[in-house]
Amino acid sequence: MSVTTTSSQTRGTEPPLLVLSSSPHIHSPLTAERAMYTVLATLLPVAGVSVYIFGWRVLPIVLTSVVSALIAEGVAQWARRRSPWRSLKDGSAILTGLLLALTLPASTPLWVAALGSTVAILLGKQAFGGLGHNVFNPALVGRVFLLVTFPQLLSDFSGSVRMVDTVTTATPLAAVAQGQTVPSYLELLAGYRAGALGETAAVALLLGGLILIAFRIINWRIPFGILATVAIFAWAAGQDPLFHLLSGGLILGAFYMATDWVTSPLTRLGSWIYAVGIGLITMVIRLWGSYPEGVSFAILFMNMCTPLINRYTLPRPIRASDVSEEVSARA
Amino acid sequence: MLSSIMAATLSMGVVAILSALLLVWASRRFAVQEDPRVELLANLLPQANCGACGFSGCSGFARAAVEGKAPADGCKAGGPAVAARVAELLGVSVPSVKRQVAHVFCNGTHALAKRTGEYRGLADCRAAELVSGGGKACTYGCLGLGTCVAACPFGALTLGSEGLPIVDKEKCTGCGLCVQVCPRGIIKLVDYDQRTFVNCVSPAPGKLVRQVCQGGCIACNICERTCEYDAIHVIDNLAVVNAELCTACGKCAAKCPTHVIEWQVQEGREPAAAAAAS
Amino acid sequence: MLSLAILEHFRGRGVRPPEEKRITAGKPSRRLPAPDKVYLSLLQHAGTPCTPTVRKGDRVIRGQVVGEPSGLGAPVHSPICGRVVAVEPYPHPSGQLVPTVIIENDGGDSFLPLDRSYLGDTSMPEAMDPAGIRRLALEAGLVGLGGGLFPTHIKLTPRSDPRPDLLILNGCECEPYLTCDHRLMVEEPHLVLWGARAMRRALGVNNVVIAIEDNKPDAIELISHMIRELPGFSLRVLPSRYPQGAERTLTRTLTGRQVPSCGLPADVGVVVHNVGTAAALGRALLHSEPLLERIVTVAGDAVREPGNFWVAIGTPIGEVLRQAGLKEAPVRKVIMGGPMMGLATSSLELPILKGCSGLLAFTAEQETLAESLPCVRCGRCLEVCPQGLAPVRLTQLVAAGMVTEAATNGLLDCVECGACAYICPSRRPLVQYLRQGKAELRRRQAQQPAGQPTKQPVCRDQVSA
Repeated sequence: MSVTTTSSQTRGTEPPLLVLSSSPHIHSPLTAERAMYTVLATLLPVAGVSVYIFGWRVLPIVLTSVVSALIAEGVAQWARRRSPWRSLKDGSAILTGLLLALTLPASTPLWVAALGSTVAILLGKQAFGGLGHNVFNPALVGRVFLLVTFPQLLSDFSGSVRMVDTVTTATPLAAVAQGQTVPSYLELLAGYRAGALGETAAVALLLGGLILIAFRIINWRIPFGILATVAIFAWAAGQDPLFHLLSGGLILGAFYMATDWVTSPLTRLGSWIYAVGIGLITMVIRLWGSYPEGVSFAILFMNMCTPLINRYTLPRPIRASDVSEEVSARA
Repeated sequence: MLSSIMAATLSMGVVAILSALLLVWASRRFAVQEDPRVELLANLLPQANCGACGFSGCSGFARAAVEGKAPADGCKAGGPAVAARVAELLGVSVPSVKRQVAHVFCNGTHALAKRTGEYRGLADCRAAELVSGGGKACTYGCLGLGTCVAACPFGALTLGSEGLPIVDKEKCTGCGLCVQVCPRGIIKLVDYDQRTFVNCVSPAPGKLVRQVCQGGCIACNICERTCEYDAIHVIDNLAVVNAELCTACGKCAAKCPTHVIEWQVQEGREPAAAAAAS
Repeated sequence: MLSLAILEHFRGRGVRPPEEKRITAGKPSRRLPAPDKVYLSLLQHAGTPCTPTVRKGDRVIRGQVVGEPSGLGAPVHSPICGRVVAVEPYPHPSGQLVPTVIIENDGGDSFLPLDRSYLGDTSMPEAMDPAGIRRLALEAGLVGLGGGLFPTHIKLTPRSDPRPDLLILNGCECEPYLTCDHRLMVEEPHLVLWGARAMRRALGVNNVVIAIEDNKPDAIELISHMIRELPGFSLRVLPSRYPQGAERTLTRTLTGRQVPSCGLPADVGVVVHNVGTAAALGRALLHSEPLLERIVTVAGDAVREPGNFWVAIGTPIGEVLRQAGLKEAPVRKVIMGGPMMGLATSSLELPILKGCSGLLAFTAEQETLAESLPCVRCGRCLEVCPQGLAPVRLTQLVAAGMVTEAATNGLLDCVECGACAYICPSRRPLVQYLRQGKAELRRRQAQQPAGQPTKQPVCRDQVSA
């Protein structure tokens, strides 16, 4: 069933007919489109910091990824006989492309970025039926596809790093695994470290995330729950909680990936379960897994659990039996 | 090397045999006894799973029919042909029924019916009906959003450019799903060979009908006076065709001032009246 | 109309749409001159249409009954003197044609007052005969003027189990734009309180809570001053939040009692009446005047002089809009009621009904219609639903035709407040889906053969907004 109709049978010179539509007749100004573009806007400073740290070659990667995402979206919509323009306009494809680019290392060849975002859109989103129907975060589908297909390319962080003196070419988490020296907290915060394009700029990411929370675009429970779980887990495992919070893609994942409306649970309780789950799985992979970083896998795994979480946390209607006690207690 | 291949083959073989035995045992132990006629009967049905019979799909009807809970002619979509074969299989007799098809009893095209508002919202007549009547001045007329078209499992309905659904009589099985979903009760089942229709359901007096639609029945009685066979009468502000008496001569349709009477020309018959009208 | 405030604050459930009340809240109400013709629909209440008591050609005077209830309903009175020119089907906001008495004004000024003899001692509401008050409410044609339209005399009849112990006077007026209840409380508080005292007497309760949202400081000050000498009366100031004034929400907020699913506040010993209904009862008691006119907020960007107007029942809405002045820009949408729950109408010939609290006219720029996107599962509809439902789930079920499943998930508990559709970032017509689902459910229940028990509970519709 198509959702809307706009019948426009304006006849001759008669004044236009009054519009008949169902109540409510006013709507919140926060539309999905506006939310997408706000998220994009808060990611611009992140991209800016990325350019500062990794140099100008960040731009072609980001552009390639975004443009490929748009092309993939347009072609898929056209093939599914739906309006490509409407779906390109909503900003979701741009966001997927940008987020994917931000998870890639600076040395990524452009064709890999293009392939990744095409897979993200086609396999991660359109295969499920487009916007709103996907089970997994499309950008992460793209990233994980690249990670398992080209493991070398995706873990090569030796590309053109601006601060060669201070930054080792291994990511902090890899450095720990290999027993190398790790960057200081300040360096981690400022992003002077090896890593993917968007994950190093911790301050910019935190700022953007807080703006999104303040504008009620993302659910604060999810990043808070993830960060708290990771910190507590790290502390309990005898590791440095702050280091775990600031390294890897945790902040990017917690604020921008896990909070995706489509793939996160509907209810408040569900959000807490989801967030704690992501935190736990991330730490398990970091401490005991063969990959140094586990945020992507953790989010994808909990995306998979989201329908189940929804099933058990959706509200039940108020039943007469629920209130009978209350009434009799009062009498 | 060879021994490891042997070991693998043997172990897999043993597992396969054990599994096969388990499956054999399970199929015997948990077998469901079903009347073989159910499957035979289901094979006779159109397998459209339209649900018009009131049971869940064709297999549901087959089971009910075999158990005697459904009449042999219960399959609306299959029509008389299927009913006869079902009755034969079950060994019962079934009264011969005429083939029925859906017909849209509204003449309110974009050009003829007055619109009061521009409806925006769900593209479903049932939803539009609840929004101040969906923008059509006539409260009995077709809303033209195609809920019936979407409901038809046989592709027999299309939404015409004039804003009214069009029935393909050949594809229509008379299952009646469109009749059920139409919020205004405009679609009704008629005999396949009925030729004359009054395409209006409005019980409003002629004056009110004229205010909202150029193509509605205004109960002017001209058809009644024209008919030589006493086959059309105005009852409650609406002309009604008596299909038994109607000879489909087409004279009433030719005389009707609002052209609300539809006369389907029969093949091999001279459209004399239609020619006279034009 | 919409400020660019993306920041939406939620206190608990519900939404906070822009209020847009400032323009009309401070202006004194005006009385519109009697129209040339009134169209008295015989269906102005929840129930069945009235039987007309006049015929074409009859002369009627102001206050005369033109329609008597047949079954559930309340009588309809003529607000003018004149001649009946027709009793015929006429457009009704529901989209159907409904029998309507059309009267042409002849400028006469005779008035037929209500009989008050059965009230007993009329010096104090507390001394009146409870049954007499109910009878007067019926004969004055009173219905829930907040938009619920349920006949008032029935809601004034106390149940035996549970006996009501609280009367809530609903002056929240949480709908944006509308200020008619606000103006009523400021301009005629004595009528409101007189009516409320009579309601209290009819119901046999002691305590009355008047609920007003904090965006009406002048009404709060006035009412709190006036109830100082009235024992049993108290005032509760509530934060502005939509749908604060919905019966169930209000009952829960004020008493903590949860109205059961498919139930009414009366099931937990509470009766909620709108301040407008109380004022109309007060008018009937003090001035022997049946419900002949009501206060209507006329607003919207297509209106030159927004404000509150006293309008004779049955005045065509086009006439009211003309008096308030329409701007040059073409009107694209006219809403009877508030923007959250009001009904868009296509015809300016429709008459003002008893429950019409507002008349909003918008130009093209104010239409907030956007193409809807697929559901992005953000969960906002769950957060705002005052009934604790999951609109996202219910609409999926309705769209799939699974209305019985939707009913077990609480479809019938939906009060159609519109909070979910207001907040939906994909602009999905959630309320329309739910409404369609309810209609479908009613249709299926009606189709079930008689004697076969229905499986799901049949809920009464919400009786007061």
